[in-house]
Amino acid sequence: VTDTHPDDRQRDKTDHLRAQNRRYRELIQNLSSVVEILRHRLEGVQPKPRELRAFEKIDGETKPPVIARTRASGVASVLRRVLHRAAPDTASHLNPLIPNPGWKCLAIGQPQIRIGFTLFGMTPEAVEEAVGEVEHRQVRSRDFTPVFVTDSSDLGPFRGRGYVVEYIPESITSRSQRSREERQHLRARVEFFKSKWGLGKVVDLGPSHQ
Amino acid sequence: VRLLFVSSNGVGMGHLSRLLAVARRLPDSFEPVFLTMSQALPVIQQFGFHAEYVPSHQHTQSEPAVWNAWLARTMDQVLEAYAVHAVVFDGNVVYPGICDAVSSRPGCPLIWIRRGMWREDQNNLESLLSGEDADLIIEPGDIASDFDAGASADFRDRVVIVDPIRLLDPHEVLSHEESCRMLGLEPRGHYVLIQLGAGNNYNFIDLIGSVIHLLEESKLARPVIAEWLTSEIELGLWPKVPRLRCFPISRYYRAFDFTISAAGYNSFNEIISFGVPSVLAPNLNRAMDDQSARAAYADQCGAAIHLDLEMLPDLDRILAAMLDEDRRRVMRENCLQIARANGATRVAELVSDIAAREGGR
Repeated sequence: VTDTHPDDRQRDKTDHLRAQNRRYRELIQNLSSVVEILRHRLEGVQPKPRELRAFEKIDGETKPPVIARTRASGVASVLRRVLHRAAPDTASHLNPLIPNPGWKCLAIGQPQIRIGFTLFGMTPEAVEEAVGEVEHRQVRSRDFTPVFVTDSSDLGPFRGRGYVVEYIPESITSRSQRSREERQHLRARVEFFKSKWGLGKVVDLGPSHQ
Repeated sequence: VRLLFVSSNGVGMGHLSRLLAVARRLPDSFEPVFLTMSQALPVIQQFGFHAEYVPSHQHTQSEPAVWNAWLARTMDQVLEAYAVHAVVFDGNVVYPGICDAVSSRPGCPLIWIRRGMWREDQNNLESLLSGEDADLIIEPGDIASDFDAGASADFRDRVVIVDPIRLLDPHEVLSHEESCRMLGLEPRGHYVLIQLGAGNNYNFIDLIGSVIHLLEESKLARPVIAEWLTSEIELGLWPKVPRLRCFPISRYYRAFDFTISAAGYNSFNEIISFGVPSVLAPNLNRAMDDQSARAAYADQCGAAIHLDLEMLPDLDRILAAMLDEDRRRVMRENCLQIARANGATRVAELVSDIAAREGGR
């Protein structure tokens, strides 16, 4: 016969209580559903079918009003209000992630110099060209791994080449409408990615730098 | 009330499609925000939802623990920035990074949408137990659930099971004429939709080639190839065959006489529910769900033909049968016999209910 350690007993008890709690929650959930059904039956009222959110774009024919929709909703205003709170904590010590080096340089060893490239406010053609150019240089020099940061929701040019890409919504990167808070937030997010991927430096490939 | 919908990076679009199906059915007082690991970011935006992206662990050579720690940090920021009341996750495993971030925020419930039909030979216990911290686990039903022999079937007493989740309701599927007009097809023509998945983890090129060859020989119907938006390969090997690259493809199903399709959750449940005659060729990659079981179930019900590997030499006879209108009519009727209601509205109710009751408390 072996004695059970008090910590184990405590853990068992906690597990038991958690399981019990979960069962109660499920029971309440099921009962709520039953009550809801009964209420509808009692009132003889069927729930009114809700109007579904419409398709804003099915194929490539129309440009989705992404930013307009986001700004019109509460999301953007909340985002603006809490920008300072959302500023990433880059001071804490977490090991950076090792990014995949891209399909054409899979064989290059680590550690490599990791360089961040920001591509904001660029046309799809310009993004394609810029990523292609970085890939070309990487294949030639084989001494760095790129990590891209973009505001383009088309991640194909990056993922198709096996590169890591981070995304910042265009509503934050748009130059003409950036407030001081938004500029701070943008900087903070880029800094966050810098810590996350251990980037030695960040190069801006956006329009003003071309 | 703001809800964060988080999707993992699936091979296809399944996780994201289910989340979109739920999000678009939420009451107006609820606002969905997405955090996805999928490349299909524009799809979320085309539905009018705000989306953030985080690269999945497949993009790093680091240990999963390190990736999870960064995921937790990203989640913290998103939860804070958007003042989220509840998190809805669709994926096969609830990542520790998600659990850590959500559990550190009391009053922010975690809801896990976890489909069934896992392969019998997969060891999924660890994945199933990853949801222990979830406040609610919802299993979207499957028309073929009678054939579900996977590990999740033993966990049904712990989950709320709803009807299969579909992005579209029948009235949203375009008519034959309208579909043809949108796709630039001749309404009097006969077309076959080949939709064998993203092709990211399964080679279906030979099958596509065979189908195209046989259809061209028959001169009775023309093939159209569906390309997934998340596909890493382009299906440009057959320049004369039109390619359909859009989402959701099911909106145009009525343009086609029948489909040659994989049997993933969404395609399968849509095909059957919308009464589309089909030949189901399961993706047999070991990482996938039990697509063979789905195909076998539909075959047994006379609602589709299950094309397994041994039957490939008979492909000509199978296509000949599918080109017969009477056979297709019977198949359509059989589909509708086993079709089930759309569970997306029920999930939207469950999610909004728990978020309203517990979120932000």
